[in-house]
Amino acid sequence: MNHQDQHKTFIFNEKIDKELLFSLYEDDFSYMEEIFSITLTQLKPDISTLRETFENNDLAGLQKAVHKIKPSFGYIGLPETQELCKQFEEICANSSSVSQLVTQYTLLCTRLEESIHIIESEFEKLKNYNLS
Amino acid sequence: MSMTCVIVEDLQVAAEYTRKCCEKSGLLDVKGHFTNVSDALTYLNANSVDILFLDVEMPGATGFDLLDQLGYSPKVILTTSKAEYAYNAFEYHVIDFLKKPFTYQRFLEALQKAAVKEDNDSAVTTTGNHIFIKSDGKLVRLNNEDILYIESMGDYVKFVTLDKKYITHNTIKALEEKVNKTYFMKVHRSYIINLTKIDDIRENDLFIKGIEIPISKAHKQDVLKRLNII
Repeated sequence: MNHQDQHKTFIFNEKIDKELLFSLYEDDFSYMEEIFSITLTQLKPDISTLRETFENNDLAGLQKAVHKIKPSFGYIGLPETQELCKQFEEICANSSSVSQLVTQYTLLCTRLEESIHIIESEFEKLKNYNLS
Repeated sequence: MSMTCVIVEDLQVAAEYTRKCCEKSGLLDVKGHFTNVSDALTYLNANSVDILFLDVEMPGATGFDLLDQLGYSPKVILTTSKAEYAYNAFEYHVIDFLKKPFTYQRFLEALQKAAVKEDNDSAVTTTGNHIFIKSDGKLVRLNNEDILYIESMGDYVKFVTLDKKYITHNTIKALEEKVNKTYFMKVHRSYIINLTKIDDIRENDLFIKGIEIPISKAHKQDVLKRLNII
């Protein structure tokens, strides 16, 4: 089947859980491209919102912001980032102020930046793959 | 079975994925997508729908707030990334709880539960997650997910599962009305197949576990529509 062929020719970034992607989209690479595009478009402003809530010491807002972005990473095959968001959301729920979260927040932001780079790179690869 | 639905979800990628699942099923007519409770309520209080795909945490108000204010009770399938809401889901009598991201197969299972509820509500008992057949002097329960296909044998039909075959007195025409259409579809006057078991399709035949099953010209377009071919 063509699933096998495409599986061989499209090489995902090693951080991407490709089995998760195939479980969601089968071998529909055009659909994956669409999902990556939508995710990138929405994640950037949502991450900006998350940063603003932190800078404004808005703990409830921070928790909501990380809750919102969390599932996005599942849809593009980065379940570890999704899990990190979940852990951070739980830490928010058990904290009394944003100032207690600096270390975890810094770790989260680093991971989010890495994840955005991966999504951008995979999106470009998918676009080229679907054009070829 | 054809049902109307609305998606209430503030995460665009999740809404798009759910919409695609609805379309792929061929069983749901998506009447709208709303990113907040207020807009959804305005629509839902003016338009009745069968199924509500509902996120919980959204800007302004939660999915549970929406259920509290809604004037009627559609079948609710919660879509959330927070498993902690499972208890509330139970309290609100939701049909199912889909943790994002969910697979299409899991989506179908939720839809199946909604279909069973629909049938129970309307006192029709011809669809469900299983069927009982008379075979060898006893009633045998076959789960939909275990049936590969059903083949006509004149006044009898053969139910084929992965490891067994059951012959019972019935006709494809009669069964067509009784089987759950989420799973099953008539593809030929002599065959009803389980859509989730198709391995591949070549010209006018489909293959399930290496078994060739003809698709009639009259059914081919309908079959292709159900397969979400790109």
